[in-house]
Amino acid sequence: MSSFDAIRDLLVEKFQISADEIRLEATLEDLGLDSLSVVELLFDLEDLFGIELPQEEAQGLVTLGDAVEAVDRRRRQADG
Amino acid sequence: MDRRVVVTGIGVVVPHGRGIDPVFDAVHRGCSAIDLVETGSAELATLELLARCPVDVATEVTGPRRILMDRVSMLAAVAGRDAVSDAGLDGPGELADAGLFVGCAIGGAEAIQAAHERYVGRRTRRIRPTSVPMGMPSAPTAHLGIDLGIRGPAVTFSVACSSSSIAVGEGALAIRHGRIDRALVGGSEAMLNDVSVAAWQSMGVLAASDPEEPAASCRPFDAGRTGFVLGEGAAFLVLEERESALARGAPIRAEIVGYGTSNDAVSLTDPDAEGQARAIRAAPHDAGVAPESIGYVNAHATATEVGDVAEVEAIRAVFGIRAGRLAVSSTKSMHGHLIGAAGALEAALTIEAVRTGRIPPTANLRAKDPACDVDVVPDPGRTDAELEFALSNSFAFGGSNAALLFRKP
Repeated sequence: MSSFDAIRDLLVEKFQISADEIRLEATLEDLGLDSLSVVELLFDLEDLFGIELPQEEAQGLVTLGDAVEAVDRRRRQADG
Repeated sequence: MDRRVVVTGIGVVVPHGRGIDPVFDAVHRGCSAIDLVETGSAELATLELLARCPVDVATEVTGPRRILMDRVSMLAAVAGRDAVSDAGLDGPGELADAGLFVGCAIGGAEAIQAAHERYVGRRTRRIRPTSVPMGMPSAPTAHLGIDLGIRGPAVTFSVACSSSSIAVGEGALAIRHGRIDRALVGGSEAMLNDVSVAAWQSMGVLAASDPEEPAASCRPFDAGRTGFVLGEGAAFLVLEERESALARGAPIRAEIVGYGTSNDAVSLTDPDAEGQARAIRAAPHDAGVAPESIGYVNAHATATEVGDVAEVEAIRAVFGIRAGRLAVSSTKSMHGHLIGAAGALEAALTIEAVRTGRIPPTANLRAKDPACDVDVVPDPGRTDAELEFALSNSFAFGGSNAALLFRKP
């Protein structure tokens, strides 16, 4: 599953964010995710893909695209 | 003159389902919500007697805050909302000055177990930060406050099995003393995660499954009893100062006229009849009525030998020779032991008993223990048109006892 699809499904099912708000350029803030929610989302992604996203990296995420990119990078490292 | 306190709303989300009318009917009919169910992790799977709440609360709770809600807070959110709507106080601002008094013995047990599983299972210190606000015993209180806009005193009582009786009693006192006019009071508990169940199992207080009929395994006051069954759920009441409730034409289910509480100061786990008797005696004393006026006692009676016998001894100490004619039933035989939510659920059932004159039975009696020499209302429930006052007892590990006295409106 692509990182974007996984994040979209989590945001819709667990965080109950409407699917049409979920675009790569949307900021996490626009989606109504506060800092605790962002950390919770990252833990879910770590569990889903078996990766680790360091806290420092998490703090730099602004848009949903940033999150997808960070997850993709870690997944490539995990595969390689 | 003292300000009087009435109950104007009830919300229950408990093993028998949702809504006080169907729940009370099932209990009065003697229906058990206890079942032998699969529980535990894959490698430690086991069958346990549990009284699970069948209501799908996760779909009832919406919005971004749901990711911070353990099951205990979801149960509370639904039951609290139902109580407020039953009282007709769901309009904006109706509860702005109200108080919130909530019993919870454990807190977010599932979130805490999940955090420990992660720490041990993955050997990591990277633990979800949400486990902090999800695990705290005051989480249900906090969510209810935000959901319902309750901005007066918001207090959580963690007093083991007396938690929510004490929450109800303290909420009533706050109204009587004029600090507030309205309060949402009750309790929530969701601790059927397997670590909790296994720890209770080790205490040797849980019922053995009846080979023919698992639902009938909890047998308070019976010579063949083996212990209790853990349950989960939430129960809430709306309390109001009587004059203001009457002025707005509120539906009045009962009046809470007395609250007694005492501490054994004896043992962490053994009951003490003398301590219990002091709480029971204090309730009618607080109400200014004679104990003889009480027609029904919803007993704490968990179906442990020491517990049931101590409670009957306490009841006999207070009611004397009249104890033999007093109806004393244990509804835990059907809904299990909801720990921190037990007192509030049993208070709700006691309120309905006194309002309707229908006395719920003690289910599953086969041969009454001769040491429990009171009228334990064998199945099925009965009707007593004369019933005016009813008492609900709760006794906790740690020795804290509470008794709530309700009067027909």
